[in-house]
Amino acid sequence: MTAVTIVVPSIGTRGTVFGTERTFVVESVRSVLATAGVDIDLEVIVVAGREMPAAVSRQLIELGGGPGGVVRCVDFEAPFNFSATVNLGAAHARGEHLLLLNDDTEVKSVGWLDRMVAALATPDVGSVGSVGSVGAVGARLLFEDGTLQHAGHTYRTSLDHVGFGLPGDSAGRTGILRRRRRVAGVTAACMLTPMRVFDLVGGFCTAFPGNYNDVDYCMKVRASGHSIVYEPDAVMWHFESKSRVTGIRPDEVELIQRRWLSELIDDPFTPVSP
Amino acid sequence: MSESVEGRLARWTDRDAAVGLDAELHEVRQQLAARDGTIRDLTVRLEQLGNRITQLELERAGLQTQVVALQRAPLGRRIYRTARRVAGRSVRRR
Repeated sequence: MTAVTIVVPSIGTRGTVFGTERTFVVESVRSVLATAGVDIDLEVIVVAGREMPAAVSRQLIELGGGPGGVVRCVDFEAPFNFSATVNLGAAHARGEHLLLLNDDTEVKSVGWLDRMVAALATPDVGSVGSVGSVGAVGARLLFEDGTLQHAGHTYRTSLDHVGFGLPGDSAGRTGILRRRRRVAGVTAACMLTPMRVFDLVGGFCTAFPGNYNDVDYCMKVRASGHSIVYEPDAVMWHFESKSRVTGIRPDEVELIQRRWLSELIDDPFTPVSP
Repeated sequence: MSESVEGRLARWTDRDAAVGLDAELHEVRQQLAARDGTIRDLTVRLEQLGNRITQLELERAGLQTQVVALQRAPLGRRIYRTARRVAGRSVRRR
């Protein structure tokens, strides 16, 4: 059995999806528990921000079978810092692998976690070079309207999602959107990473509270000799707004460039027009 | 004894700082190497341009010599024609 700890930062936000109002984190965790697979020893840690309603925390714990069950809530009392919430959840984790998951997600494909765990064991996928073991695996994420939100990252001057906005079932040029392959990076909205790798690179950098924390993590993982893999058969809904305007801080831009600029100007894994 | 949550977080903070510093050092070294490469390329280009200037100066000197030579030729021809005209007149008078 593979022990996986799922870390879900949340403040218990509500919203309307497919015409029905929901508390995102509750439905996300519910879908995870319903689809995780019998070969996975699952633990879910919800890192609850200060705004999290107590009723939602209770509901989550009940979903996991009550106190001492599969789902735990860990309070995060400090001001918002995504990296710090991830690290706090990971610090409580018992699993050999960590799955970082946004609370505005929902599992779409049965067997998704098995596929992601299997991708971790793939020693060499894709066509660019040959490196050590896999250090992180990302999923295929779809917007509510079925278009593609994420199929891996591409870093070529700008930092983008591969295939962003294409129909969700697009194959892409030479089928790269439907093929398990090495990519420059993957989003932390759904990222599986071995705990030993997370430990090796020092987790998420808290100097990136809102943006680029996943880019930085993937670059640290790559610098440590591991590869990043996109797993197209792990499909999740990601109910993030397409038009979301992120408040990117100048110091985040400055730090990501200071650390990785020469690695972010060309992408050896993904062609210019995927 | 297993590591505490606080201990784990502190260790990760230290580790991230070390990894980040290594990345910045690597980045600066990359930029330094890029500058060295550019300077090397420009130095070679400068040498090539110097050679080209020398070559052009030689060609120019050759062309200048031709100009002088070609300017001398019409003078010779004028002297020859004048001499022939004078000689012609002299022959006709007889």
